[in-house]
Amino acid sequence: MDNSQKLIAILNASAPSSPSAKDSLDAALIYGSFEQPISLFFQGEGVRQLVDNQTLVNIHIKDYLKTMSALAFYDIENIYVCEKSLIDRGLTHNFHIDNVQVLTTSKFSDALHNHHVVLRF
Amino acid sequence: MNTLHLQRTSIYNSNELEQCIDIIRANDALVLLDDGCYCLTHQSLEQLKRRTPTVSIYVIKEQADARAVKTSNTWVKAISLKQLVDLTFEYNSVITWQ
Repeated sequence: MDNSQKLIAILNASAPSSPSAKDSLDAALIYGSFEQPISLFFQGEGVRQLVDNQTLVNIHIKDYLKTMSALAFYDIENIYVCEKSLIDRGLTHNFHIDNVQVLTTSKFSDALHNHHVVLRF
Repeated sequence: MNTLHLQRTSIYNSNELEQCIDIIRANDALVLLDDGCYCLTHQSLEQLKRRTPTVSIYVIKEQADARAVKTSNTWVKAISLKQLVDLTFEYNSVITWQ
C-alpha cells in the first residue's frame, strides 16, 4: 500500500485551551492542503472544541476555533464526535461547524478502526 | 483492522485508559508503558479483561520493575521493548494514548 491510499485519522482529546488542540487542527489543514485523505475524531475533552459561542480571545488565546470553518475548503468532510463524551459533559449537538457526525462509542470505534494511521493529540 | 494501543499515562492522573477502553476491540492489544505501568493495578484493566477477554494485554517489564509495580494477573504478559517493536508490525495501526 502506498502512502496516497492510507487513510489518516486525527484523534483529538484536548481541551480548547491546550496547545495540542491547535496543533491537531494545524496538522489536519496541512494534510488537507496536500490532498491526503483525513478524518477528524473528537473524544473526551476534545469535544469541547466544537461547542458554539466560545470567546477564547477573552482568556488571551488566539481564536483558532474559527479556522475550523476552513475544513470544508480542504475537503475534510469526515468529522466524527463521540456521543458518550458529549453526554458525560452535558453538551448538546449545538456545534459551530456543520457536517459533524455524532457517533455512538461502538460506531466511533468502527470508524477509527477503518483508518491506517491514527495520530492522537 | 486491528490496532495496537500504547498506554503511556497513569489512570490515577488522567483518563486516557478509559478512552482507550471505550473504543478497544476484541482483536486489539493494549501495552502499558512509561507511567501507563501504573494502570496495572487499576480495576478498569480487570473490567476490560472481563468484558473483552480476547484483548491481549502487555506491560514493558523493565519499566514496571523500575516503578515497583506488580500484578498477580496471569493474563498480563511482561515483554521487553524489543518485543514491543515486533508487536507494532503485527497490528495494522497504532494509537498512542498520552
